[in-house]
Amino acid sequence: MTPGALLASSPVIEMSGISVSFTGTVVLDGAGLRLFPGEIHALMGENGAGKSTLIKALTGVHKVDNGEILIEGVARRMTGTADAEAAGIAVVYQETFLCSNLTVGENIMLGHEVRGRFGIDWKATHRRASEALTELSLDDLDPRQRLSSLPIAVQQLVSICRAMVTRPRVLVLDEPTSSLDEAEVAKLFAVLKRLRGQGVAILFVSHFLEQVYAISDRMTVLRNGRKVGEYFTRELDRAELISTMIGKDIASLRAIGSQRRSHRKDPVGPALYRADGLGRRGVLAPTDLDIHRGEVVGFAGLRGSGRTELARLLAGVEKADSGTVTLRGEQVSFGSPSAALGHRIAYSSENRRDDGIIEDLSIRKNIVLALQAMRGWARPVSKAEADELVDDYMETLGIMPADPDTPVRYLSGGNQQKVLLARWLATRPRVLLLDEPTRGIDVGTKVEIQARVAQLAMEGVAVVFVSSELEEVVRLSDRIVVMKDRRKIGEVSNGPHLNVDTIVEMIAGDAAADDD
Amino acid sequence: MSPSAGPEPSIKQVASVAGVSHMTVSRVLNNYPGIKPATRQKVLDVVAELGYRPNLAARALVTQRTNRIGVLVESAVEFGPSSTVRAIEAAAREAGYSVTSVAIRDDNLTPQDAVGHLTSQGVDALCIVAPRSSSVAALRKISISIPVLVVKSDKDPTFLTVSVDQQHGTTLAVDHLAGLGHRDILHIAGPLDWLDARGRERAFHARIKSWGMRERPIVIGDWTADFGYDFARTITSPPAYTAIFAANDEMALGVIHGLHDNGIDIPGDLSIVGFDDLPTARHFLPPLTTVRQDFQALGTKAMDVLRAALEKREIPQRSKIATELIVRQSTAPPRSIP
Repeated sequence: MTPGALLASSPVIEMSGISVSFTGTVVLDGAGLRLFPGEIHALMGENGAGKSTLIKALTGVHKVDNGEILIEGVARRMTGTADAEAAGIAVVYQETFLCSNLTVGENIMLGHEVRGRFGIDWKATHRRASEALTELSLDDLDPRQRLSSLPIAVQQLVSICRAMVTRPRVLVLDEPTSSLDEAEVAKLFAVLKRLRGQGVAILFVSHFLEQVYAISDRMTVLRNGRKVGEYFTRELDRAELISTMIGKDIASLRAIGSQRRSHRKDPVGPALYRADGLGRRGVLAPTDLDIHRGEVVGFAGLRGSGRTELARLLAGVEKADSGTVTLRGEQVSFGSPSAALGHRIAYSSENRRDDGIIEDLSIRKNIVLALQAMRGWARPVSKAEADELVDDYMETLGIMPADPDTPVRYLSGGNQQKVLLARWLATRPRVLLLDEPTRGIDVGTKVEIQARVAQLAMEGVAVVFVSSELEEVVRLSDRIVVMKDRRKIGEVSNGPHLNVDTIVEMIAGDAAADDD
Repeated sequence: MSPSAGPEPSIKQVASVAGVSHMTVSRVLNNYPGIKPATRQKVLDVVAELGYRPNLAARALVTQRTNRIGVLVESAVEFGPSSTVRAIEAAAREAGYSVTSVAIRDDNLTPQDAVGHLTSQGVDALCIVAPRSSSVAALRKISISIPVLVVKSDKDPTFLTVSVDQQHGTTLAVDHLAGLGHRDILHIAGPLDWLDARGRERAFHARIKSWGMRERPIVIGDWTADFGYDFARTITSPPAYTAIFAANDEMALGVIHGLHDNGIDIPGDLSIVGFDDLPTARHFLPPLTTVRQDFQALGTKAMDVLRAALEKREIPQRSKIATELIVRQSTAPPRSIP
């Protein structure tokens, strides 16, 4: 369908001025979305932009404080998923909720079984399931096959098939491809195109930039809970999309330089930490990486690009299924974060609350935690040692309040982050991986943490710095590893001509399109 | 509109009588902000006095064609872009077209201004040379009713494209070095928002990987020899890598100079490959191994495609110009093959 023809029809869904807040925090603030029949529409935005909240507002999971939802021009109130289903909206979430012990057909028809005079008419049910499969050109699937015998990708297709049984006008797919390989994605896309051809409006959320460009007709970009704009995909260059998502135009990204006048000095000698082909299927493509003593290596990329995944694999938090790690010239393997800690590799998680700080414990106990774990419980950290350590870090990092017995829950986000940093510093790491160490903290503390990172590198620690703020990565790193679509796509040395746009352009560069 | 006796006054005449540049005249006539009121008034007075008609394309009113191509170039300072513009001019003349060109950076224009300036002169088609991603993005936001050709190597959903095959050229350079035994190569890229710089960088990345070489962080330059020199002066002893692939000859020239000043031997300690084949590349010390871009063929191809679009003929398909590796004395086998 041509762009003009698409917009000539009337939207099947029109959301406007949508506001949603949770316990006083505004998550959506005047967001909107227009979906037309027969389009594949990508919902784009960085972390916290409000994508999933908007979907949940549409499907009645979240209550809308303000704004209007029109379905085929008629204002509707969504008070629950049943309303959404009645309005012809079907959703397939990332984690598919299927029953693996049932057959394909039973899963597809679950809750919609064909009933005869004596209960469920299984024959008719399976016939209807076969029809549903045929409609999506999935005839090769046997509806009587047990779901658990099928690969994840096929299960994903079954869940779409299940969503289509009610013949919805709108199909919402939240990260449908995150665990699929290339061939599986192609199969999924073929199904989506077929549905598009039947006039279904498809809303597609994905962190894979190239997939969005491959499949979507239009896109809506959200930022900070607001709608920034809607675009025809073919009319929005990748660099332009990325800068729109970040919220700065390309010219101002270019102006954010590294402020480095000098070139990075190439580190001499073998790497402290060397990864060869480190990866995990469905998580990260095999990746080579060297990390040297005394350097700050920044990981840059959009959310979902694989930057956190790479850090977690490097730290042994997630187990690699390919590749090797060589540490100071010797091949090692870590089965766990504590094994990595034994090699003095520390990882500070991006989820400060869930995965890091223990809110009910005191500052002191939070700081000593990792050191104690590293030593093992048989060799407790003595009170004197702990006191000295805690005093030292509280002073040098300026942790407030200054009383080490304060439970961490009473600390500001910035101070909690400092406590977390102190915890890992206490282990005297050789390699320190910091994932989003400055997210959600005040500017003053942010600068303090950045300064501390620079100082650690000067003291010889190899620091990996992961941040969604490209500006910060560019300012702080000696070298930047650029991630896209779950693979490393390049590395750049910092220097006088590097700026934030350099990274954006590298992500925007698409080798596949460089072709006649 | 009545036909006037005698030749039409030109924008240049208006500019010279008013004592301003023709750009200023164009901006006044197109109501751009930021012009001093006094200047604006002066220009409007001269326009009235000379009876200049903003729609210059008087001829176009009859023929619907001006036989003029507007060329928009990012900057005409660098060798590649300026050579491309010259080649397009030559090919245009050959085909009976005249060319008006505007340089965005040199004239301090926004892409919108530059396009406005060209279209106000009644050009039949636009040709964008050596674009940066921001210019292409800006162009997409302007609705332009004439054919637009962008000299870039990736295909485009909206614009016509022709280019020298950056990928092919880069592959030749990498393969040449790999063939000599190099397994650790540094790439000095141009600014990555220049589509050519990005094309070469992405192609370098891909080719390095297919050779199974370990990736080394690239260095971002600014196309100038000064940059190459300053960078090379930081290399005080033979580095771990054994070769440098510079994204243009000018940076390669600076690198050679800087390494020479640091007492590092080329190609004994380090091999260098450039891109472009400047006319002077054969006189560098040592003479530079580089990738030759055939700008003349590029200009001819650009005109072929534009004419086909203007005459509503089928657009010639093969729009990439092959490159050629010119092997001179700046490359040799690496110091020691492990």
